[in-house]
Amino acid sequence: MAGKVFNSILAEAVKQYKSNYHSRMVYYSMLFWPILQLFASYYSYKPFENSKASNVISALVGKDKVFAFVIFGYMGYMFFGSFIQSAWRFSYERVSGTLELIYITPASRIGIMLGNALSSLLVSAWMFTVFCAGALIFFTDLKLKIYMLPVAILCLTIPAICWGVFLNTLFMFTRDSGLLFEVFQAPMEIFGGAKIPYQAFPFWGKLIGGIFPLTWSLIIIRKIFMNGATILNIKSELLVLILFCILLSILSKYLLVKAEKYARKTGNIAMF
Amino acid sequence: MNSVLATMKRNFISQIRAYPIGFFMGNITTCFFIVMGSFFVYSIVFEKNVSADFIAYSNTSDYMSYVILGSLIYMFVVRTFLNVSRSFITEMREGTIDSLLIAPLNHIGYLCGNMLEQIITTTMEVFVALIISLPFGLKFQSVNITSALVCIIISLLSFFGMSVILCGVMVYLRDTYISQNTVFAIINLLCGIAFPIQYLPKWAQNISNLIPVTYSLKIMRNSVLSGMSIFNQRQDFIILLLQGVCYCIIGILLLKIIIKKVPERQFI
Amino acid sequence: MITVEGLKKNYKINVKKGIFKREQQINEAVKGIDMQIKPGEIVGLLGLNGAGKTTTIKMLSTLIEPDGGKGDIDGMDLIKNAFEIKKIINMIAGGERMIYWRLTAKENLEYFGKLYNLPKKLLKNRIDELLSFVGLTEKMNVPVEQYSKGMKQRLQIARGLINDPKYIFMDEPTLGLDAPIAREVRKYTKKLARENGKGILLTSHYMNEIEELCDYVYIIDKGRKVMEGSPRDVISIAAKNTNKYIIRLESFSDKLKNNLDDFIKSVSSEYKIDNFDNAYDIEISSNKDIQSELITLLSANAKVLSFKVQEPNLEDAIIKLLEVS
Repeated sequence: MAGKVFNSILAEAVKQYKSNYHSRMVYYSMLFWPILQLFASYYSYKPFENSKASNVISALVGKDKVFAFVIFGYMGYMFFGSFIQSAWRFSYERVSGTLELIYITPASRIGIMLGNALSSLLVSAWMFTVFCAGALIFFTDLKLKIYMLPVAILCLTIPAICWGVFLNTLFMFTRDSGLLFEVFQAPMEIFGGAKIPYQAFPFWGKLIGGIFPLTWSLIIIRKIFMNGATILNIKSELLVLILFCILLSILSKYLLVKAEKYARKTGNIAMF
Repeated sequence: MNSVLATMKRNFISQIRAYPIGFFMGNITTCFFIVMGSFFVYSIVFEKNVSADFIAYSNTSDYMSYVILGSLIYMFVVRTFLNVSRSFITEMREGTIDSLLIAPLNHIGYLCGNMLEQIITTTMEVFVALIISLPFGLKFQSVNITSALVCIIISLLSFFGMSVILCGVMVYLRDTYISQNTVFAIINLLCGIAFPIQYLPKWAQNISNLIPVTYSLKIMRNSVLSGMSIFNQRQDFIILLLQGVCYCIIGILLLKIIIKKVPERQFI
Repeated sequence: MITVEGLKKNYKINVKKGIFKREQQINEAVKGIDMQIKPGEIVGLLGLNGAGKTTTIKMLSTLIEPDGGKGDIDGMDLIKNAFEIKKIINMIAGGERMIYWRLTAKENLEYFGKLYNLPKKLLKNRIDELLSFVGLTEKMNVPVEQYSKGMKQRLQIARGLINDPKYIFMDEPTLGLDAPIAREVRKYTKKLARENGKGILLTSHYMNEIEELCDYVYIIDKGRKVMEGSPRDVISIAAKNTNKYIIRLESFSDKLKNNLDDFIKSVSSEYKIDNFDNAYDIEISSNKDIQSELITLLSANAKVLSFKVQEPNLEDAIIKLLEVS
């Protein structure tokens, strides 16, 4: 069983990687966009700089740390984004007819979804490394404890994979994956705390933000990099994140079975 | 004209049959969340205070109207690019490109058909997005309708030109994902969607001024928020028109070359 | 063995009745099909476009769940044991879809092989064998997007055999292939059945292929089976042993026409005539042996330029059958 899952993960990850990340252009674009979006986000704060309320964000984020706050926010958001993009790309398997061929095999379905998510890992890791290195060079007052770096990486990677796999299973239900993508992606950007501090939201905003694993990943990442947090300092957020990952994994497995049953009933695998 | 009308009809039918909900909701949702995000930053984080230089750069203190107009124009730009630029690539992916190319199709007419269908559907979406944006603070204090309408028409010409160029790039690179997202990211940063371009470094502003979207936004905001007439913005109008014409000419010339490469450039 | 009884499939479709009104209609794609495919046997599934062939194949390959009837493959239920069935079946469809164009042939086969959990060494050997069989060894490291249509189709065949399936469903496998390769595919299909004991279900619009390969055929129309049997039996029953006599005459006088009309009426047959290039082509269909009487009648009244007797074939039989159906 484990062998079957592993084979499916490996096969799918290699295939997606070769199909989608087939040129160096991809690697440069994975850096270029986050940089552009990062600056767009940073400049969107400029209309409020030196206004009466600009100390509000300083109080929440830390004095002179707005840019660092935004950088880590966007890094996390883009990291999640690349897994979500790979989930969305999988829906093109319908168009090319290869989804049918995957369904005709006895391959592990969850393995396929995981493999698809993992195909983005290399490229996302590249982006993460560059951003981290840049942040550490440019922000000399960051308080990162180096032994917490693997914790930060895991707190970003595992929830992102779980979220990507979950969305992928949702996309399997519908030919209209574009709408689902928008419904999940845009609120995640706002309420997930990528550019607006989570603490600044009203209660209902926090409720919405709280359903995205990105929110908790970002809180942890920022605490680790900007405040020098240890495991004890992030234990409650870590617990929430672990519970999220378990829940998303169970839900994904359940939905995958349902999606295939639904596709077999309606015959809509080949329709797009 | 046959190519234009036939393409429009085909697109309408495909959209309505295959995506009855997503047809509308996806784009409305995107615009809604962009506006909501700005609203949160403005009213919750910064308690509706803007800085003096924002007021100086934008000729208004009405931040929400400023941002909402930016989002609505951005929505038009993105939808135009997504439809027109990706038209040939989509045909290639779905296996219909050969039947299209062997027909005596006017390729510019084909792209115009895509564009016109897109204008109609996006106008409906923008109208709904506008209604949704009203509670977030969109105000029409002083509107010069003539100026706004002329701006829209000239802007559409320039968006079309830009998207034809991008279409050629996509076919040549056999990729949509990287090229379109790069263009969107550049427009989002450089064209004044959510903040005045004067905040950018001088060299970046020079690039901004080469992109028609920058002038579209400037004219539209001046027409809708400050009620400026065509005459008072004549210089900006002329620049926008010239840019539109140039982009269209470049796009059409590029298309003529790229079309020949399409059969070789299959597939994705 | 594959056994299906009363297999049914309905599709729900939404039909627009106005701008906002939609009516749900049921499309009965397959209305109750019985079929058997034994290991080592090649079975043909024939019918016009839209008859339900592809839906039947998709049900057997566990892609679609039947809405009625029952089916099992080697004792495993089509619905309850779908996952187990997937290990021993595969599908080969015609066309250029269903492969990854950015990957090479080798990478495509590696991918699908891994999905079947094939051990590394076995997979490698099998890939080499299959690529050699379909004639793609030299191009195995070239991305599929650079292949011709025929090459893509050959890769499809290789992919369909990657797991050495016990039962293979071939949906127009020689579509788009040039004659030498198509012949090789037919030869290999026979070998797979006769020597390797595989059960094969084949659909094709090339009737000579069906006649050459199939031990048994099922003919379906509008979701129902209209006939089954060996190709010979189908021809003799459906075409009723109707021979065609194809004659070319130099002239066709009124006297000959009257004599021919009387003769054809007396043997309850029919004929048609075409005139071009200063000659007359007559085609007579009859299930009686009228060769000698015809020659006597025609040569007495005109110069016979050519005379051919054509036995009925499967294509004739199917056309006749489906006309009646």
